Amino acid sequence: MSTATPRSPFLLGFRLSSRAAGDYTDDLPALRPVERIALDPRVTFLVGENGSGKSTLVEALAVALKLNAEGGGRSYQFGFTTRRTHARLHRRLELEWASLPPRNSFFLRAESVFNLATAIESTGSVGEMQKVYEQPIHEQSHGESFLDIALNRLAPNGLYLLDEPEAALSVRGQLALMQRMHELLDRDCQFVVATHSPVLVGFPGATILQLDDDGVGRIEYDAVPQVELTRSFLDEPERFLRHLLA
Amino acid sequence: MIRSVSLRREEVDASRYPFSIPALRSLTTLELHPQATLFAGENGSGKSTLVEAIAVAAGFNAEGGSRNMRFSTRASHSELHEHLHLVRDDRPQRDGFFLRAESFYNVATEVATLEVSGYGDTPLHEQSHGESFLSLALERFRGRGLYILDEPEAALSVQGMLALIRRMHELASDGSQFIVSTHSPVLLAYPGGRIYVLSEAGIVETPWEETEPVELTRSFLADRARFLHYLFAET
Repeated sequence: MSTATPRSPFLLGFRLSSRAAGDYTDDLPALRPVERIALDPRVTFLVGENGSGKSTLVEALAVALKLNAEGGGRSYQFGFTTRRTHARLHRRLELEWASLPPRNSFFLRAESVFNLATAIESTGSVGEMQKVYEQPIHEQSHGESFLDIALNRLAPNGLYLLDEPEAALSVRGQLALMQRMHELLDRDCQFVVATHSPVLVGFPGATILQLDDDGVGRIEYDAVPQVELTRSFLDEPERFLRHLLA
Repeated sequence: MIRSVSLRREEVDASRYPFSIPALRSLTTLELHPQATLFAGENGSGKSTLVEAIAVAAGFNAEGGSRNMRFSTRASHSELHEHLHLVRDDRPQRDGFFLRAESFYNVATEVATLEVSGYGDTPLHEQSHGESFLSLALERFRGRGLYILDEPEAALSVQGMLALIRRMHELASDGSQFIVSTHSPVLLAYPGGRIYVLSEAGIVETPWEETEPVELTRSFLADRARFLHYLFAET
C-alpha cells in the first residue's frame, strides 16, 4: 500500500456549529455528537447504512463549497434544478481550509447524472460538451457517461466530492475510477467519497469514516460492514441465502 | 407475465444503434425465467437498453414508474422496443413497476408532486435515495406483479440489497416476475433465477460464479494489496 507523504490538502476538515439547521438533519444520530470532522488530505470515504446521513453530509459539503446540490461543477450552479431537495445542514458547516481553494472542484452524484446529462444538452453548453465528451451523454449508457465525467472532467489540482459513484458503475468501471483517482492524487487532488462499495472503499491509504448511531468514527477496511458482509456472502452464498430466506 | 422476448430481426438495420450493440446483434429469442431473470454485463453492454425496451414494450413509461405515470423529462429511450415481440404466459398481472436507478430521482419528484398515496408516510425526497427505493419495493410492490428493475442496487447498502432479495423472494413465490439488470455480485446470487451476461459474445446464460462482478469482487476481497498493485501498474 502506498504511504506517500500528504501534500497540499485543500480542506483540513470542517466544524459543525451547534445551532440547529432546522430540518431533519438535526435528528441524524450520527451527526448529533459531532463537533468537528477531520478530512484526509488525499481520500476520505464515508460509509454507513442507508439513511445514516453520509450522502447528506457530502451534499452539505458541496453546497458549502457552492457546488450545485444535484451534481455538477460551478458552471451549472444555477443552470438547472428539477427541484430543491437539499437539506440545510450546510448552514452549520464551517470549512477549515489548509491552503487556497483548488482550481477545480466537482460534485458528482450518481442519482442525478441523468439530469446533469439533460442539463448539459439543453442549456446548450455544446462547446464544453463536445470538448469533454465524444458523443452526447444520452446516447451513452449512464455508467459510460458517469465514467466519462470521472475520467475526463476530473483534473489535477481539484477537490472532488463523489456521492456513491459506484451506483452507475460495473466493478470494472469502479476499478477504472480507482486508477484515475490514483493518477490524480499525485497531482494535488483531494477526494471525499460516500460509498456502499466494498471495492472502492479499498482504495489504498484512505481514511474511512463510518456514520452510525454512535456518531462518526474511523474504521479499518477489514472491519467496514459492507466489506465483511460482502466477503462472507461471496464465501458461502448458499448458506447465507438459506438463512436470509428461511 | 412474460415468457419470452423476440427481436423481429427482419425489421431492423443491424448497423444502426441500438441494434449495432454487439450483445444485441445476434439477439433472436430470449426465454425469461418465470420468477427472475438477471442481466449482467459491462457498462455500455446494452443491458439497460434491453431492460428498458422490454419495459416499454410491456407498457411502462421509459423513465420508470408505474403504468399510470406519464411524465417525461426527456424521451431518451431507444427504438428497440418497437421491434420486440413479447410472448406472455397465462398468469394474471395485477401489479407492475419499472424502476431505473438513474431516473429514480425523477420518479421521487413525480410521486411528491402527485402526492400519490401508497409510498409510505415519509415523502420520498425526505428519505435517502436508498431508503426511498427500499420503501418502494417493500410497500408499493403488492404482488402478482411484473417488476422491471434497472440496476436497483444503485442506492442500496449491502444490507439493503439483502432486504431486497428477501422481498423479491416473497413476491416471486406469490406469482410475481422480476426482470433485473445489475452489476451487483450479491443481487446476481438471487436463488432460483437465471443470469444472462451481455457481451461481445452476445447474450449468454452464465453460472453465478463465472460472472465478472463475482470473479472481480472475490479476488479483490481475497488479496486487495496484490490486486491494487497490478491495477495501478497499468496506469
